[in-house]
Amino acid sequence: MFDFAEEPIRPEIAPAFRRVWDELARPGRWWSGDDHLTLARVTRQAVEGAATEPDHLPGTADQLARRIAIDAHLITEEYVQEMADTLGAFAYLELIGVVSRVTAIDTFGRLLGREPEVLPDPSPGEPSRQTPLGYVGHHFGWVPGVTPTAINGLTRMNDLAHVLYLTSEQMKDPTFERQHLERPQIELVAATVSRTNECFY
Amino acid sequence: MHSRLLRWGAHETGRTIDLRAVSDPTIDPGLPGGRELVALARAANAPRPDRRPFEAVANVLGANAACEAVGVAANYQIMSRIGDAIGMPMAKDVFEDSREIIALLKLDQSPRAASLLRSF
Repeated sequence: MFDFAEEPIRPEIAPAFRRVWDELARPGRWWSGDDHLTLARVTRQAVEGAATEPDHLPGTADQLARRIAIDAHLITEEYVQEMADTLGAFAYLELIGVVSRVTAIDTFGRLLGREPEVLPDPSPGEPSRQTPLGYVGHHFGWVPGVTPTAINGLTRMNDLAHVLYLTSEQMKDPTFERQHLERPQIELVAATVSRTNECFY
Repeated sequence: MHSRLLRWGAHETGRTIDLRAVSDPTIDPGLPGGRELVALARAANAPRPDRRPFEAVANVLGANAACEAVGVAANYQIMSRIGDAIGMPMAKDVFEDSREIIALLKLDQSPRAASLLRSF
């Protein structure tokens, strides 16, 4: 799984991808492993331009996964409120983390000319539905009732960022260079992907 | 808005860059391998595997740099989605400092831009 022996891929990348796959297979806080993997399949269907195949998830979850996969730039404050009311704010965040990480790992493979990695089999078990200390707040961005800690903890946004992009310390260094790619070239790729996604950020 | 980091990085390293290349692939960004890197980044949402943009970057900058670029592109698939899906906050001074880029890249019509303008 995630064998990149043919390319000069840094050795820490494949283990990071495997950790994501392992995490998807296990129950999370608000979705089961089976739910995660269904969301992963919905994500792939959306990116590939295919219709969503029938599954066990609520239609709202399927629609949300598709929107985040291919139309995240169209999400509005009202839409986030509606999703938070329907699914719960924490479930919303965990779903974002599943869809965005699957999209990223599949992008990595497609740009190397590879077919998508086989998804793992789900581990049994139910989500814990426990809210850790520090997750409940007034709001963060458009998401009601959550803190920045909840955003980081449930979307797992930094799990791959520190491996694929830069650590917080490296971000402060405009002269940073890795594998012969200089910081302005790194940011050119980052900014262009962001713009291609019509992302405001 | 990530173009602010691009502008900063180029300035601090003495590079001259044409930010419009982020939105317009016909424009040369002015960095080594810039056109090839833009093409690779724009291929991030291709529905099928396609190695040609990677090979083009590798031919100009080497396979190591091309692999790094693929990783950065993958990571920004995450950042874009999370930023848009949560309505990532932005300080007013950062927004004001970004107005030129917002106009240059035609970002002012996005739902997030409209929401920020209302909140300020």
